Amino acid sequence: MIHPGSLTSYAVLAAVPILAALAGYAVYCYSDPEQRRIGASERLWNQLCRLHRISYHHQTLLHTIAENSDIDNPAILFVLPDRFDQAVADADDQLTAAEKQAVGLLRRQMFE
Amino acid sequence: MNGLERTFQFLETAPQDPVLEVLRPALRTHQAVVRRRALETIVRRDEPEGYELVIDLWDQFDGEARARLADAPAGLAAALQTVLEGQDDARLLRALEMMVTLRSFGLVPAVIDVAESYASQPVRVLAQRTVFDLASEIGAEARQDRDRPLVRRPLQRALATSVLRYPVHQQDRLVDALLSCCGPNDSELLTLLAPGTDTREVLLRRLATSREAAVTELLAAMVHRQRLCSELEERIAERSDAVFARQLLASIGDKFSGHTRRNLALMGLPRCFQPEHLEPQTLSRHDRLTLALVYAVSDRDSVRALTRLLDALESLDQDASELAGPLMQTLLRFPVLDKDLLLRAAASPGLAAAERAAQVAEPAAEPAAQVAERVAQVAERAVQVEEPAVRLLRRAIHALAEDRSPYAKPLRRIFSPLSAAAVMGQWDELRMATRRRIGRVVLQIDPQAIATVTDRLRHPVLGRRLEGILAAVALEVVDDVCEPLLRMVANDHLEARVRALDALKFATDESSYRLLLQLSEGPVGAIRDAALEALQHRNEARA
Repeated sequence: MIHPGSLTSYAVLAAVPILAALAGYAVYCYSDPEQRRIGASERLWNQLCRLHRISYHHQTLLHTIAENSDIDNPAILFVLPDRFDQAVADADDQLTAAEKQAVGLLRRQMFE
Repeated sequence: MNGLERTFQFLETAPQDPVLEVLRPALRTHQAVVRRRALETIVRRDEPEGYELVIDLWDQFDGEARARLADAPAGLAAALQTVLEGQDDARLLRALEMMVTLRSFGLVPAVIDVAESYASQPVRVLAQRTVFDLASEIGAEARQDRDRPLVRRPLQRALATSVLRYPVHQQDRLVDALLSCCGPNDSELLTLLAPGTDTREVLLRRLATSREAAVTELLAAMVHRQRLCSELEERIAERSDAVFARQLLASIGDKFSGHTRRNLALMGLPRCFQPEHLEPQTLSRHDRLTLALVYAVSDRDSVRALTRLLDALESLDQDASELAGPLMQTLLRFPVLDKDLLLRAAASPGLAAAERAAQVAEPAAEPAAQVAERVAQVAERAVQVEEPAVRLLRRAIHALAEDRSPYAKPLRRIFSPLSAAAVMGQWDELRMATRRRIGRVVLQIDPQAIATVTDRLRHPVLGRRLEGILAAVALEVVDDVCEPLLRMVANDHLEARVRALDALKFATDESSYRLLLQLSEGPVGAIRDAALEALQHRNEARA
């Protein structure tokens, strides 16, 4: 039979490495400038997407278009309409009809 | 509000790092709307990192974008200051170019260090040019009564400190910058120009030799100073370049004062205005009038000065009405002309020839066209041989003949050495023909001439009365002073009686003729001889 006090002790023992791992990851993210930059860029991306009320599905589509055009920071698509159009044209072959339709909606949301 | 505008509004307040990554390509895009909005976003964020981006991309901005940065908050100045304190040549060159475009006067003190001693010569030269351009711009405003002391004073202090370091850096352009941002009465400048200071010599040298228009403009403005030291007087008097001549003319024409008059009179005619350096035909009318004013005040050749002054007064019009006061004041204060010069001019055959030319018109029998032609020929011959003083005297006589001439009173004063009273003691030194020529001029110059001669004929001293007799003959006014002459003949000293009888041979009235007849029948002696001689002369003249 397991004593209730022992159960608590096991839980504490198990939580320690988990918390340590989380803390280590946080320190890693904070201390590495590149990681921090990526994190900040992602936050800005998320904020811009929220600002323009872009759905998760459309966010994925936008990411795909940016990656296809080798755009490191996809947030720049929000301030460069001509770059957005160029990226869409580059990815034309890979987009389905429904996605092409969604791109039109996205453009209106972002720029109009 | 459209989506793009919403994005930029969000970016104006969003956290730092990734925002600049987004704005960097937006600043470089060919889409003008996006580029302009990205720049506005950076200005509104007002962060050093954003302005560093602006400095880096400055070369790619068009005029409109650059103009927008002129109203940027203090953050841009701080970013520029950081660049100026750094060692990045490319950024420094861009920052200096930005300073001139954005009129960043407040940053000039920071640039002075770069201008004095930065290692790279292109940077140093551009820094000196930047300091000079900004300093001369703010100085020009001050000299045009649009001073901004809160901007100019710190800049001036920093440049003054730099001039104190001149023996170390030896940069003339920085001395020029100080001079170009100063007004002629600035205490900072006067302190550095004070006798005994190390900076005096270098400042005076630059005032004498600098070709920068802003520097020569300062030197020109110094002509109005209440106290002008002899060294500065010399610099103004000795410069001969055309740019300085025009600046000096503009400065004098703009605000001519009593100090200006005194300074010009002390220094003499500046070299830049002398005929070999300046052709009056190339000047505007206003400048020609100002030049006449300068000549009148400072030219040691008083005939040339007065001639130019009269030219200017006669050609005054509405466009140059502000010069009327100074020109008239100058005429009123013009010194009396030299007596010997005037006597020579009055005795000149040239003047007599011109007068004869005027008299040719009198014979009525001759057709008018021929008369006009002869007048022109004689007058032309007379003018060709005339000395400037003779021309001036003739001109004065014509002006005095006009009843309403506003110049009559000052001209009478200037030509007063030719008044009857002034020449009275000199008649006996002259030949008769010369006396006559001078006498005719005196009669035209001095409206009180006859009264003066009359008074002299009644003078208690014999010598003075004898002078009066000579004057009456020379002026050909014997008939006008007949009454005192007759009284002298009746009652005076023997010598005076004989001289008076001698003068009466030029009279034409009957009472004197009767007296001469009576005396010619008197006892043998000097009186009878004189009366007979006079009668004979009058009879010959009548025949």
